[in-house]
Order: sequence, then C-alpha cells, then structure tokens
Amino acid sequence: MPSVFEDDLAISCQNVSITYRTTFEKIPTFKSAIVRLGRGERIVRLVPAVKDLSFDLYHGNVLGIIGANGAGKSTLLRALAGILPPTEGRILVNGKVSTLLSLGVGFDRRLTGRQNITLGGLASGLSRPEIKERAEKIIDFAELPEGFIDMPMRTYSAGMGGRLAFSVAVHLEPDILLIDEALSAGDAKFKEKAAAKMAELCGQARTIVLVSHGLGAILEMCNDAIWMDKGKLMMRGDPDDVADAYTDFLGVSRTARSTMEDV
Amino acid sequence: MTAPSSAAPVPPQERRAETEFSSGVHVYEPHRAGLPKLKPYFRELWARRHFAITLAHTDMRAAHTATFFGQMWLIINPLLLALVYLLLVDVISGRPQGLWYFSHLLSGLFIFYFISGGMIQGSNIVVQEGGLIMNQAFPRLLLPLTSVYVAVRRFLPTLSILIVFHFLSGTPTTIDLFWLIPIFVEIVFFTAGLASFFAAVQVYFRDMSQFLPYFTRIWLYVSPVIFTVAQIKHKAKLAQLEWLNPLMPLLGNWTQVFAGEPVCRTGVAPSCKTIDHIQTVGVSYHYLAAGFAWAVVVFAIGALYYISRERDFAVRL
Repeated sequence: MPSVFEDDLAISCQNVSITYRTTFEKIPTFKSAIVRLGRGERIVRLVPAVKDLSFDLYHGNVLGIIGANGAGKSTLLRALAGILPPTEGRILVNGKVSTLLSLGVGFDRRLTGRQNITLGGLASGLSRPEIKERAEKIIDFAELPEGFIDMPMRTYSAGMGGRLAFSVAVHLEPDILLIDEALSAGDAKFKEKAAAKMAELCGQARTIVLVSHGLGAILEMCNDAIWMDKGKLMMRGDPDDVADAYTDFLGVSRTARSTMEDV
Repeated sequence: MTAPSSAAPVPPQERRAETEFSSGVHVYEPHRAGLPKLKPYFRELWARRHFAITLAHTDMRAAHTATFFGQMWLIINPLLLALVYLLLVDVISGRPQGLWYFSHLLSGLFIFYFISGGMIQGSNIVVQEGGLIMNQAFPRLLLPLTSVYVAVRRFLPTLSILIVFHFLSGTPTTIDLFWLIPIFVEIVFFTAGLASFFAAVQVYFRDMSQFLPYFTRIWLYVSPVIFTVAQIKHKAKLAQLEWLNPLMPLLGNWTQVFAGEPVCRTGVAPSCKTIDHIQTVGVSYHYLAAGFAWAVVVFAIGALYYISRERDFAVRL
C-alpha cells in the first residue's frame, strides 16, 4: 500500500545537490563590485556542499549523520529545515520541524533566557498562551542555576546556553527534530537526560536527525546512520557498521574511537 | 502534524504544506529566485506577527528607546534639526520666519525622519538578524516589517510636539485633520516597500547603508519639507518634482493638511513679508490618489523583490 508507506515516511531526499555561490571577499560591497568590474574580473566560486544525495527516513528513528568537517552535514540539515533550498533534486519532509542548529545562535544574547523562550516559540509559530504553558517545562528541563533564567543570555556559559536551546527545541513538540552538534556543550549528566528525552520523542513516533563529527553521541543515541564525505553519501546503515567504516577510512583505530569524542 | 495512519491515508501530495513554515508535508525543490505562493506566505506572516512585535520591542530596548531619556531623544533630535533648518532659512531669506513656518517644518521633518529611519533600519536588519535567518524557517519579510513597526513606535510620541506647534501656529483645527490617518497609512506602506528593498540589496552590497544617508539628505531637499508645496509648484524648474518625487504627494499632503497655508497680502507664502492669517488646505484628492499609487507600487516592488531573494539570504550571510 503505497499511501500508508508514504505516511510513515519522515524525510525523503531525492538526488539532492546543494551548491553555494560564494565570493572570495568576506564582505560583499558595492565598492568591490565596481573594482572587480573595472578589472573585468568575476570572482564567484561554486561550492558543491551536497552532491546527489538520496535517502529515505521513516518516523520513529534517530538518524545520525557523521563525516569530517566540510562534509556537508550542516548544509544538509539546513536544507531539511527549509532554510536553504536545494540546487537540484527534491526534499520531502513530513511534519513539523524543530531545529537546534549551531549552538546558541538564533538566541538573542541581549535578552534573558525567558524572553528568548518566548521569541523562539513565536518564530516557530506557537501562540503566546502555548508558549506560557510550556515555559515552565522548558525551564525545569534546562536545569539552569538559580536565577539565571531571568538574566541576559550573554551571562550564560556555553553549556547553559546549549541546555536551554535543547530544552526549547524538544518542547516545541516537533514531528522532526534536527540537531546539529548541540550536545557537545552539555555535561555528562545532561547528555544522559537529553538522550532519555530523545528516546521518549522517538517512542511517540517522532524523528530525530543528529549531526555530529563525534562518534560517541551517534553510537549512543542513533539506530540508523549516514556517513557523508565531501558532499557524497558514503554509507548508510547500522551506526556500528557505519562508524567502523568511517574510522577505517580515517585510519583511526577502533579503540581510539571510544576514547576520542572528536574523531 | 503526523497524519493519522488509520483508515484511508491521504496521499502526501494532497496534504502538502503550502509554505515551508506551516506543518504538513513540505516539498523543497530548487527555486533560486522564484516567488512562493503569496496567499499562504502572507497568512503565515500574519500568524507570526507577535514574533515581529516581540523582536521590535527587543530592538527598542537595546537602543534604549524604552527608557525615558531614550524617548525624549527621539523628540529632541528632530526638534533640534528643525531649529537648524529654521535658522538656515532665516539666514538665506534674510528675515525671521514665523511660528507657522516652524510648524510646517516640524511636521515635514518628523514624518521624513520616520521614512528615512524605517528605511535605514530596515536596510540593516537582515544582516543584523543573521542568526535567526540561519537557524529558523519563517517568512523573512517579517524582518523589514519589524523595522517599520519600530519606526512607527518611535514616531508616535513625536506627534505630541506636532500637536503643540499646530496650536501655537494658529492653524485652524478642523475635521480635515482626520485625513492624516489615511495619508499616514500610505506613508507606512511606502516605507515598508523601501525597507524591504534595501534590506535585500544590503545582503549583496554591505556598503549600501553607507550611501543611504547621503541619498536621504538629497531627498530631503527635494521634498516639501523646507519648501512648501506652493513654493515648489510656483517654480517652473521644480514642477517636475511633482511627478518624480513620491514624497511630493505623500509629504505634501501631510504638511498641507497639518500646517495649512498662510495667506499673504502680496506674494506667495512663505516668502511674503506679512502673513495675514493661516487658512486650512483641505486634503488634495489628486495627491491622495498619487500617494496611494506610489505606496502600492513601491510596496509591491520592494516586498516581492525581497521575497524572491529571501531564500538566498542563508548562504549569503
């Protein structure tokens, strides 16, 4: 039954390629555009971040994406969130998406934690009463030190910011949660708690995509994994097998993997 | 929302979400410069209006405009500027201008600073809120509209000064003043169009915001702020401004309705020697229509250009 089949499908990437157009200049200006024009130069570099990637993911799974820096993991995640359009191919995402992308950004550091919860919730389309209802749960879960929730977020440590961000993302009740390196900041105790929360979400037939270049989190939490290298899909399968292939590829011994977080 | 997996499930094509911000099945396909469906886009935008308002209040708090002296500065700044221009005109014309002229100058300057403020703020907001753009999918047009909302909130307190000088200048207070509301709405949409356009351009040319102040300075001089509409119309060389400068109908109508027009014994106000009395000038329907046209066209061009470009922002920041 193809229609039932489609219903369980959370994410479907069909021959997705994502190419950036960037210029060499860090900050594009009118002045430099004129200077370039005068010299007859045209410095636009195409960066193929993701190349012809295809995979399907069903609801109730935790997918880990591993790969070296620059493999296109974060770009892919942004495309799944609808922030970046693919250059070629098609992405199907079934459900409400919540993102926890590069740590802390999206949060306004001038505002208090509580105000940031409101702002984040409003941006994702929740109403004020809905946010108010969830705020206490979010604050409880983040377990910030006494009083910090009403202090500007610039006073937070990286770990505290990460905990609050994670707490907001999981409490927005997403069907699909996209997480980018977010757990690297939390301490061991919070990581355990986060893993339990993620397992709970999966139990409710939700889907999580976790990006990390550290294998520890992937092996602990995921039941499915993808290894990407230079924008290409290298392997898809059981996290253990994928991690083995990845570490072999990198030439790092299997024992080193368990001790080094940033393999 | 996850669809119920019971009975007869609807194929995903029919449950397809209309924009990337709503729930349901999202389909992302290549679209570098195309427009999304506008109706659902604006519906999602409206649904997130509280987000824009909260963001605006954050912005104002950061700029200290929520404090007493922050608010005062918003009034004092254009007031001082008006004084500068008053002295300038006094010196150039060789004789002191009356209270009426000051009232005219203030009404024009305050609204002009609303427009240029909204525009300059809007031009910076996409780059400024890069963090949000990189991490959240939401209708990006909310960002320049936030700047315009901030500009409105900053403009409203200055109205009190305008009202004081309106009474001091001896301009009759009539029912015609209610025309200021539709004129202001036109000006708001016009400003929103400019803010959106420059917000998108700023992503590609980061030095744009450095040129804008010079551009607005010139624009001020060719708008009916220092001159009156009557003066501009009187000079054959300036007559084309009526067609070329959108602020002629927009600001012209505003200042005329607000400050009225002096009646002179000889010559054309305000360059006549003695002002007999101030008469009201009813709203110009011609200007109202022209202002409406400018507002619609500029808003449509600015907003559509912005929306067509907004998916490109995430890779440009």
